[in-house]
Amino acid sequence: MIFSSWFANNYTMIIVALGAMLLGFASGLLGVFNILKKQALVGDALSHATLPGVVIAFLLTNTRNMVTLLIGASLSALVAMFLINIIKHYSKIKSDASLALILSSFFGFGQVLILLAQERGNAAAGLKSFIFGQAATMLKQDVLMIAYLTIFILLITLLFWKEFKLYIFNDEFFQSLGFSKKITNAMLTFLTILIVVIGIRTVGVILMSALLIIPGVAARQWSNKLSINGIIAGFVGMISGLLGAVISSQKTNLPTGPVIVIVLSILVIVSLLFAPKRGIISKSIKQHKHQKDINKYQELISVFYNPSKDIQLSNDNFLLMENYLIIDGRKNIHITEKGKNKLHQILGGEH
Amino acid sequence: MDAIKIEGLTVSYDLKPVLWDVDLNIPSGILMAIVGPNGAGKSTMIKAILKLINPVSGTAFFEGKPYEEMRKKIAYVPQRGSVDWDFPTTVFDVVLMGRYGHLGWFKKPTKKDHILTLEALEKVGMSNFKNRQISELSGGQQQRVFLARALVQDANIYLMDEPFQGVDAKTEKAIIDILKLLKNQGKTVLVVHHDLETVKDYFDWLALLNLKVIAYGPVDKVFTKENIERTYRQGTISIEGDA
Repeated sequence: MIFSSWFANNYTMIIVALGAMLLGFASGLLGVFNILKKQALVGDALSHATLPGVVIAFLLTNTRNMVTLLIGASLSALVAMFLINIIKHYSKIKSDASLALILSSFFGFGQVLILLAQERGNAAAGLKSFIFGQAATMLKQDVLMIAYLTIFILLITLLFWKEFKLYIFNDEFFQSLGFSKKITNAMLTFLTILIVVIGIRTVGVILMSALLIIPGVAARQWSNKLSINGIIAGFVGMISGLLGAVISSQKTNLPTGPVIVIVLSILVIVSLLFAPKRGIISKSIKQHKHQKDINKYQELISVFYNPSKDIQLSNDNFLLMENYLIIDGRKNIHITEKGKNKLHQILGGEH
Repeated sequence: MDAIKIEGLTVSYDLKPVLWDVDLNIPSGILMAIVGPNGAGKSTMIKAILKLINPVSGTAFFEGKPYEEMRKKIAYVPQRGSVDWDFPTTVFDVVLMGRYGHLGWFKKPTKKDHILTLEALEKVGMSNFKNRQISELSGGQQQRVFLARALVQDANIYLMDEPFQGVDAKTEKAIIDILKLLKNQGKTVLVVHHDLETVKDYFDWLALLNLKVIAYGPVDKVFTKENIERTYRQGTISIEGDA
């Protein structure tokens, strides 16, 4: 009884939270591919570029119908993508510069359009929620639409899994097998635009790329397998989507995007520091131990690298006592099997 | 019938020709080196006949057919440096990728593909490394993995871009043994190669390339001091010459 009344009271928030979790999962998963393709910033440029489309759609139709606004957002992102490709093809501007160019000019244009729209009165007030996101004020049917589209994105990503993987790892080999780079890339771009467009109402255009990029960065720390990377990134996105939607709905005017980003930042910091193999702490411990070993076994390493050099060892040197080195009757120093194993351990597999 | 027939292949990058009117008739069942200085167009030639880049003019036929019809019978080994070895995947997975062409769009690898992958790993001596992260491989191991990936393609024609680049002596020996084995099975193997000293030991045919084909044919006929000098001499290539 208690549960069902809680459920009834919080029905909208539960729906919103579920929508945000789905969005976070799909976004994290798709982000893994974008990061591996070294185009993490493309998502950022595209999400900023949706803003003028949203406002133009509003100005033309004078409604705040979600589908209309999101169609506007998609068209705007497509124009931006088209321009990015044109710049890439026909000029020598570096890709980070061209992305920054598109990002800032579209976003600035969008802001100006919002000011124009506000002169039309109150109807434009909701447009601002596209900047930082406002999950809690969404209508139920909007959340459902986002959920369906997100499931669609997930299914397409799974369908193209093998193609995305090989295309990103080795595009020429992929092409030599008869697959189309163009189709695969277009599909990846299409999915990225779609997730950005459906995410902006929840997370906002400024921070949407965080939901696309940060989960993948965190996931890469924990696993060396693409599928596990995708799952971890999905869950990181999901948790931050959930917490972002719930926490931001507790306080009026607390936008969702920044809350999601705070959660994401905590998760990525933990990952960067504490991941077992790639984490900063485990790496510096290994580095420290390596330097200590080099100091401790330096005579052993010297004998290995410079066999002809005259190295003096006192009889109580631990390398002799513990049988890493032996001295034969003619006072020549030799490395024992135990010493060779130690060298292998210190100097790595190449020796 | 020739395994590969290249006719009038010309490729140009940024207003500068990199391959000029290349004609080659490569018979079946040979192990052929493509040798020439840096920037001679060796990799470009392989990429152009595989339609990875668009030539200005010219075509290539494989066993008399265009590339599109012979795709499944051609295996390509790109340069080791062309991929990011920090990609999150395992040795087994990379070799399995060689089966993707036979699978086609959207189909997942089957048990048979897994078996073929394990066999190829065995052939290149990498069975013990099958679950290893590719980021942990040495240069020689990376080349072995790429070779295994080509082997699972079960092709008739193998095109390899510098398979000996950055490998240790032991791996070089292992790779050349496999290439010779392929040749003895009647396969045709083309190798972009750098080391003039090993040409005579490793290959039975040779193409000397520098923008255009300087000479090609059986190694004992083509591998002469004069031909090598003509290939490596700088700045004397005349496009109008004997192209």
